[in-house]
Amino acid sequence: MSFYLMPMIGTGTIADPRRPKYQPAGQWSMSDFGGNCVVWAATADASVAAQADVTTIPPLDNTVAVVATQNALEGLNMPAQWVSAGMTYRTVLRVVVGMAQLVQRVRGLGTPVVLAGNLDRTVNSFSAGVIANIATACDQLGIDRTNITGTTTLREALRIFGQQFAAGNTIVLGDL
Amino acid sequence: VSFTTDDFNRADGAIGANWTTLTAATAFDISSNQARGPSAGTCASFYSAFTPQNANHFARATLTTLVASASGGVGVMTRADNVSGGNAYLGLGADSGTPDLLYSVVAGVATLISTAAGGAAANDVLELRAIGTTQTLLKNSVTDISVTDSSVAGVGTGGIVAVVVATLPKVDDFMVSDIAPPMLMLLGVGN
Repeated sequence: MSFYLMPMIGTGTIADPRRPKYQPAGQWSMSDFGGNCVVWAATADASVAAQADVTTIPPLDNTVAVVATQNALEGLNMPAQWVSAGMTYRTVLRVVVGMAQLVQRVRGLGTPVVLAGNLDRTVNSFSAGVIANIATACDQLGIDRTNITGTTTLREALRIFGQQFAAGNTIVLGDL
Repeated sequence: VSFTTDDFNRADGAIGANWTTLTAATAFDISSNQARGPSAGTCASFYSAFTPQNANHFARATLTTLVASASGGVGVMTRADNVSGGNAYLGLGADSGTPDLLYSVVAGVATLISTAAGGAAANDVLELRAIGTTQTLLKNSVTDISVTDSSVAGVGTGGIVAVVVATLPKVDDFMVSDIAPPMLMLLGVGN
């Protein structure tokens, strides 16, 4: 199994769906995270890994290179200040995929999600409708949101959600 | 647990009042006691006469006439409704040699979230299960695709779909059903 971070393309029609910019050969799946995504492929694809705007995630049980990991994630508007020494890529990826679930559900509830430039905004700076949808998304996905308050930043809210999700508080993420 | 079925055994013509067309798609019709899609574009019909108890349900159908298209196919959908321009998960199979596909559709915006090599054969049974954030496509009861995705939030219902077709695809023996709590526990989904 190989994992990649990359942008998404597509207009969103069935003929031109939103999809990973580069699709690995063979079986693959992805979690969209705003305008970018995490892709996992059954087999490594060197042509995908060679693209300048693709980050190939090292073996999952390796210890993270903290700064490089933070820079790669933040460059794709994925909050990463919580990444610290001693973590493995598996731990980081589970949280990132968890955060993606919150972004997806908020979008599914009718709030278009624009992460660029908004990660450091506090929850109470968003409209009442957006705040309600964040709360509803947490509740629907079984996440404890008592630590997410009006002064919590969006990046921190995503981390709280992602870490609970990754810990299996709502579902188990299989082999990841 | 409740469920409903449709064997499409009725006169040729419109698919019937129990079915609703997904926004921006065309409708299936009835041909030779099967549901038939058109020769081009996207058709998607969901069984609006049945409302599952919650968002955990499955849709199943037999793919009797396939399409040869690497970017489309014929299959089933879950959590389908027409709220805000249309929502659903779509699971599609195509002829051998082209991939099976899993899409999400949120407010009419389609996202390709997974593919699996292999393709389908005539009379394969395709089933799409929506259980919490786990979306699983099964072919002849064997898992083909399983992915974590949270984007489709509503309950909706099950349906049938065909995408980017060059032939007249057909499906038969449709079923949409709640998924019983014991099955959820076996799958480890407890909260």
